[in-house]
Amino acid sequence: MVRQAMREEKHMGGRPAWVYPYLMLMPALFFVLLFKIYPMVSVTIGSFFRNGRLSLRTYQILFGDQTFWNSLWVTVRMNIIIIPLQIVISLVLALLVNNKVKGIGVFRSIYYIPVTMAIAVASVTWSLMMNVNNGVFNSILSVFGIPAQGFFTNPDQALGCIILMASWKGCGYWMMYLLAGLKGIDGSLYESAWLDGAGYFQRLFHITIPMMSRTMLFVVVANTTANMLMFAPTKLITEGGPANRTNVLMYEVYKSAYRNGNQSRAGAITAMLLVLILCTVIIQFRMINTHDGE
Amino acid sequence: MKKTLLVGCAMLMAGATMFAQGKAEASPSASQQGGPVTIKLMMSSSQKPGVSATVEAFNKAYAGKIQCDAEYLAFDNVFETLEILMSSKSNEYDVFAADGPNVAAYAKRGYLTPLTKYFSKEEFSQFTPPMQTEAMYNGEMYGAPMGDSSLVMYYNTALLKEAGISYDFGKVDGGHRITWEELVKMAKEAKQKLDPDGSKGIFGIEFQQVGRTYQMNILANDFGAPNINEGGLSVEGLFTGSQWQQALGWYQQQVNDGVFTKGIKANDTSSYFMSGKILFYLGTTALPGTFDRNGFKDYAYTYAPCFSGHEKEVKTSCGSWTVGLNPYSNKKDAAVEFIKYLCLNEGSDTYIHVSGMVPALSRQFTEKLLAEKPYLRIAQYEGAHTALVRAVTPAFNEYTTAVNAMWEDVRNGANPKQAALSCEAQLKTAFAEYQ
Repeated sequence: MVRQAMREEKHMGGRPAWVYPYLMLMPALFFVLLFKIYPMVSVTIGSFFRNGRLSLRTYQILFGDQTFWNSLWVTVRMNIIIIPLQIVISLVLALLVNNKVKGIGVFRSIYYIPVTMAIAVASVTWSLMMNVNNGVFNSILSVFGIPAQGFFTNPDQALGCIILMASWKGCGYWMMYLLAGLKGIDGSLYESAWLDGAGYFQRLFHITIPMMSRTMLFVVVANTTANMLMFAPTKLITEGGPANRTNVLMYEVYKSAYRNGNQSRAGAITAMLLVLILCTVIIQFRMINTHDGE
Repeated sequence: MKKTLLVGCAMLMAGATMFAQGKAEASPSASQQGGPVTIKLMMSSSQKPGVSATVEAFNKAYAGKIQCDAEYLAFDNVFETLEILMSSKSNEYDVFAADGPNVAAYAKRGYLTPLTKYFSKEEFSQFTPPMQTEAMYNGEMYGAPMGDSSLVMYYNTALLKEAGISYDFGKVDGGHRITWEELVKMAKEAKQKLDPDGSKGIFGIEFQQVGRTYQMNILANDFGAPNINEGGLSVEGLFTGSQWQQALGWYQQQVNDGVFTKGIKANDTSSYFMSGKILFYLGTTALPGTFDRNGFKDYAYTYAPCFSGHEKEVKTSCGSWTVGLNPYSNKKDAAVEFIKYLCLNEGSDTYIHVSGMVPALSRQFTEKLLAEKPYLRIAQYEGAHTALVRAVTPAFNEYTTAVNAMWEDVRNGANPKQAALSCEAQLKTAFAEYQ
């Protein structure tokens, strides 16, 4: 054993064997540090500085700011709806396109097409379709005698419209991951369950979903992060309105940083958002890993 | 091991930074090589016709000495780009568009070089008094005004004729204006005749910059309300006060009645007017240029309206773009040469001639110009009698964001009192940053 280890060390130019994986990881680590960790740390540290001096004043103003609390609530409310909605729709779509039917590939492509559209293009398209004056949605509604709806201009409908648009755009993406998870489940499990007399839903809840817990964990965490950080539709369609009903935290960060030149406030809200995402993801990890363990 | 990794990463980052700096220092500027000095200008695309003509003339006049490369950004992107670049102390642009009301905020943030030492007293005094005010912050000149703006009411002559509505616009002047009430009455009458079921999408009245404080605020100003409280860092009780509430409520009523538009953004209103979808259109004096370029001829213009019983309180919007000098530019002398050409010398005449903007220099209100562009007579009158500079505050960006949202919310059906309360609360926090 000792001789073998010495041979390995010699093979690696005299370096201890444990160095090798770290060396391989070095380029990736460098870029993770540079593009992920450094901006996060820098922004968070920046939020504690005002005019070059260490200060908690930004947080003091932020916590007394109605707009911030409203944005936080809008973000939470949107994610409480959009995350489960997208996961369920994506799972249903994945189950549908997992069927071995002739031409199923066409449906997979159709469901995936919205993903290939840039979010800016999708936002503009949906804002045109839902335009209060001449949008196609209102034209269809008028055929059934339903009065024109405000959609993005109606405080009670705007957030729902953004959720609808984001789900239309995003579900195909998550569907692909879930489909990959479904493909990885051993078919013999279904066969034996079927022979034992298990129905479709029994197989779904006792085989499919438990066997996909790792895929599901990834999808849930990635979906949460993506939706918490989503702001393009808000920026391009509603600008946080009407009546601040779509003013998500990311849009508040954007306004603070790029409109008002208040980097300190933008940093403080980003830090809050990071904490929010971190807490949510930890809870999700614990819940799904517990089920995995069971 | 962790320590080694961190040290390694830090060394790599430091190396990359040094390499980048080395590259930057190693590349000599054009002037050092003996060629013309190239300066970069960032401008709003809304000013492209006037500025591009001026830049072209400048490049001819300064051939072999200074070359100006202009980039035009969409109106909304100008502000964001400026924040991104200047907060990182970029020297990407040597000269850039700084919207007049933002001069104070940009100066406070250190985005602008004081121009006082580059402009003599005689040169500075050539600007009209309102433009001198807009250019200054804390006693220093920071922005060089390119032009001014004013509010004119355009109307679609073909639509009025089609609707069989006649009004003697000839009797209208600065002292005897058409009232908002008369406009609404005519707009409703025209809609009833031209588009009774609303299927053609014809509207009665609209502001060119709907949803933006620049023009929308005049509704409240016309009732005698100011844009901001004394000191420039408070709006407490202002928007919830009777004059603002009257304006907000009146506007909402007209939107609900289909007189004003809903769901149309500021960038699109001119297309609606030119395509015969809007009867009365309140916009700047730069619009005739746009109309001409698009071959639109069915329009005439008159003085901005006033509210009945508030004739003496009428106000019109004013102010426009200035250009600022980047403090991080290493071609300041060439940049100042260009700024003076654009704002003070021959280039200014080219800009005013092509753009249709209101002159920022007193000498430019010549009979020749007024004969060429008769609508500038209205601007000249408004400039002397009714022009109201936008809210003067270092928190102008926050102010516009919140007040724009208030107008838009009221347009979309929010309770005016609630919208005003929300706006005041937002601004209270925003202003706290500056106190």
